[in-house]
Amino acid sequence: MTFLHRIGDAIRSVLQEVPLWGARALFVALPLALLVWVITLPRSETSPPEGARGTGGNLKLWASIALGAQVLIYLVL
Amino acid sequence: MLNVFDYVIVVLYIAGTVALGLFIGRRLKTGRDFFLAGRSMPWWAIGVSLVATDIGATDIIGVGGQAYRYGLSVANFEWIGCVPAMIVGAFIFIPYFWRLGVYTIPEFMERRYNVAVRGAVAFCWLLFMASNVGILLYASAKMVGELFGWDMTASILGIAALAGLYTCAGGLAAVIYTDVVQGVVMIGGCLLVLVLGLVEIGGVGELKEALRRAEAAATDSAVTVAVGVEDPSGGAISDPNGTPAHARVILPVDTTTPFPWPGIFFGLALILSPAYWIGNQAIVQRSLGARSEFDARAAYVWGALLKTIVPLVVAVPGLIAFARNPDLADQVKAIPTLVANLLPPGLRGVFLAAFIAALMSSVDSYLNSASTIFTSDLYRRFLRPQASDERLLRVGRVSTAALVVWGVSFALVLGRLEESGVYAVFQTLMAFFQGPAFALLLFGVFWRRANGTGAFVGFVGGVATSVLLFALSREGVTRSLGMDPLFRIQDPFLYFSVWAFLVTAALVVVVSLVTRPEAAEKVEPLLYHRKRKG
Repeated sequence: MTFLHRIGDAIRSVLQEVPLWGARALFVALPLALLVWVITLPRSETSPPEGARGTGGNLKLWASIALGAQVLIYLVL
Repeated sequence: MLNVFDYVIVVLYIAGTVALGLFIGRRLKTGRDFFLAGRSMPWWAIGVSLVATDIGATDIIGVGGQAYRYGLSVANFEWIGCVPAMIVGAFIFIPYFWRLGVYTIPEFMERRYNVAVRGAVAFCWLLFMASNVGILLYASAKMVGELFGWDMTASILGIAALAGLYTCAGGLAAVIYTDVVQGVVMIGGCLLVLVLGLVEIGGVGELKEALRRAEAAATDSAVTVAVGVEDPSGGAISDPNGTPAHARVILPVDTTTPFPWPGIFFGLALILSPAYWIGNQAIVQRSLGARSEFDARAAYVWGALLKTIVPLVVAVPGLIAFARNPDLADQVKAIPTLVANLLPPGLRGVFLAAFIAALMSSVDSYLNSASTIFTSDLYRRFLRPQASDERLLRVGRVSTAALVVWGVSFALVLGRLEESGVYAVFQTLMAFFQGPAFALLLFGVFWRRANGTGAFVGFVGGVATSVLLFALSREGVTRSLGMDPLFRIQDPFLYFSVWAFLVTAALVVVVSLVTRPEAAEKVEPLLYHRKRKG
């Protein structure tokens, strides 16, 4: 067994201690954190410069839907 | 399996796509038109094109086959393996690159670091893209050869000639607009299989029941073993809550599939996916051709929304196939068998058109992006810095044609070398350098102190790490060294991309700190600055 094998085995044993619900929490936390970040983005970064495209031009809304769907998927499946 | 109506649909689809590409090509006048579509592309077209490029022909059948064998965990590649990175790209990196007005990612690397980093990254991307054209052609031709009995050489030549023809003529605009048609055909064809399959099985609730029954019936087969979440004693594999193993998205560390959760989360979601959506020239290039910064952002958000539904149309049919017939010897036959049983003659042609659409949409993108890197990062940078825009258009077209010839030749050679392991090397090529290239992008955009020397040493060190880990995961290599393979899962590319990224990051930090910093006036305009609230 080489030095690299020992490193790999050590990391594997640490990860094996993480329960699947802990892994699921990570999968949910990533899109959730991004969702919070997107909601706090300034309007200038999420709307067209002319600002007249209505709901269709509100990228904050559409990005939130995409990320919200991820949160839901990893909570449920 | 196919009748004359199926072939009529396929011929009509191909003729329409090629005609559209040639029509767009009539309007091109300059290299900027060819490589960046004159920066005139709308968000909706780019968004569909992003998704169409990402789904290759082998994915249409391969992802369904993997879902058949490994279950819904394969959907991670479309969900957490795409959506978070696309959203980050939409609001940070893509508008940033668009504002810089670069043609290619390696061009950014020279502005931020130095010409050596640009050359190294451009060389890796060109090698990967040119090889990938051959791999896509070969893998798809092999698949249609096995499924429909088509001649492999004729398939390779036919697809390469058609995709090459309209890509040569119309450049990025032709690639994007034909991708829109191809994306609609692709999603429509797969949706047809999904709806008919669910109707036949009796709905989603019944699908879960059917999966549970199929898993119980197939306990002794290689299929259920591959899911890797069964009782170690070989007993029942559904969990205590009654969720079928095939319906699970998150798999444990010691699964025998290539998709353990640490690989998916750390390797795919945090490294490979952002590297792909933010640093892959074939992907980023279409956003650089957007008509405004807002369109560039909106395209990625639109693409992320589409990605949310993609697993439903490409992976769930694999689950339906498993529920109907759990004992297929070869997972590749799962989707074709399902199509043959579900779709009546005439509609099978729609699915075949979807398969060809997926192939052409990937081949055309890699041809166009490889040609852009050759023309922008090699020809204009090193050979003819003063070349006119009209000359760059000609060089772009000639290099696209040359890449078609190369792709065809490479595909034919791969067929002879498959058993030697060369095919596996090229299949994993992107994982060798995507992690290191992504590390350079991150440090370049966010860390003022990162310099050219650190970036070059980091990139070389990261790629060397990938190659070493790849070699040490190959049974032939480790046997000759008298040691066990380094990784225990199949295809551990997710893991070595993490290590390559970390090695690159460490080298960039250490070498940058011990060498001279870049001039502030060079670096400051290239760092990411968030806009003020407005």
